[in-house]
Amino acid sequence: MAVVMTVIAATMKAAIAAIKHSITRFRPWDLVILAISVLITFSSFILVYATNTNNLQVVIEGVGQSYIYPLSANETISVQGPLGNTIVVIHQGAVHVEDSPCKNKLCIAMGEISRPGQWVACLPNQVFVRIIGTPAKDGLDGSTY
Amino acid sequence: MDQPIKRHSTLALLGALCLFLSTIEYLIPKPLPFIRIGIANIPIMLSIDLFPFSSFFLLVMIKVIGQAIITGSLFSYVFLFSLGGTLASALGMFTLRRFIGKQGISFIGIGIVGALLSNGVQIILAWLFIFGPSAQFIAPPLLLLGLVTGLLLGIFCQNFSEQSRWYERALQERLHDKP
Repeated sequence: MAVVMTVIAATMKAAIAAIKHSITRFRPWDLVILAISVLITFSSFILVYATNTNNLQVVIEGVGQSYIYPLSANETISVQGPLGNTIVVIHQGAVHVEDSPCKNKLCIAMGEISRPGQWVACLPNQVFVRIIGTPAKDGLDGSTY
Repeated sequence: MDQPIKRHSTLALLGALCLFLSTIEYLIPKPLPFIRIGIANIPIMLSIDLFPFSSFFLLVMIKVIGQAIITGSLFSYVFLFSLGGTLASALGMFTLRRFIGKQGISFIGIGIVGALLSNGVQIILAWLFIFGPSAQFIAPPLLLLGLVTGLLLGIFCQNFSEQSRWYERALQERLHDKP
C-alpha cells in the first residue's frame, strides 16, 4: 500500500512539473488557439443552455387560422373570430387578451399567462391561446400564501 | 539501414503503440461511447514531425482501423464517427504544424486543435445522422472535455518530445525527407 502511495505521489509530482514546464513555454499560436477554443467552448455553453431555457412559444388558434410567436416577442395580434376581432398581446414574456367582442369577457379576466402549459381561451369567439415549450427546471407550478 | 526501411520500422512501432494505447483506452470505463481521452492519438501527434504526409496518413488509418477492430465497432456507425473525427483532427494538426512551424506552435496548441476538431466533427455527424438538432445539447460538455484532454495530451507530447532520446534520434534521421 505504501509503495502504491509513493508511486502515485511521484507520478503526481512529475505531472505537475510537466504542466508547469509546458505552461511557461507557450508559443504565440498556442495562446491564440487556446483563447479561440475557450471562447468557442463557453459560447457553446451559453448558446445551447441559455437560449434554450427561453424557447417558449405562444400558439394562438382561431377559426381556420393558427399563429406561433416566440414568447419573447412584443406583438399585438388581431385574431378574426365569428363575433369579431380578439386582440392578443404578447408583452415582456407574458400573454394576455387585451380585447374581445364576447359578452362575458372571461378571456380578459383570465389575465396574463407566462409559463408552458398555461392557456387563455375565448370560447364565444373561438380563440385559444396557449404556451408550449420546455419549462425551466427551477420553475414552480404555483405558490400560495 | 537506408531511409525507407528506417521510416517503415518507426511507422510500425508507432502503429503498434496506437493499437496498444487504443486497448488501454478501451479498458478505461466511460459513461458514453463517444467520450474518449484520446491517448491513442499520442503516436499520431508525435509522428507529425517525423514522417512525410503519406506515412503519416498510413499511421492514421492504422489507428482508425485498429481501434475499430479492438473495440469491435468496425462495421457499425461508431466507425464512421471515429473515422471522421480522427481524419479531421489529423489533417488539421498536420497542416497547422507544417504551416506555422515548430517555433510558432507547440504540441499543446496542436493537441487542443486536434481534440476540438475531432469532437466537433463527431457532433456534426451526430447532428446529421442520428440525433438531429438535439445533438446540440451534448456539444458543450464534449467541447469542454476535448479542450481539457487536448491540453493534457499536448502537455504530455511536448514534454515527451523535449526529453525522449528516441524521439530526438528519430528527428535527426530526418525520415520526412525524400531519399
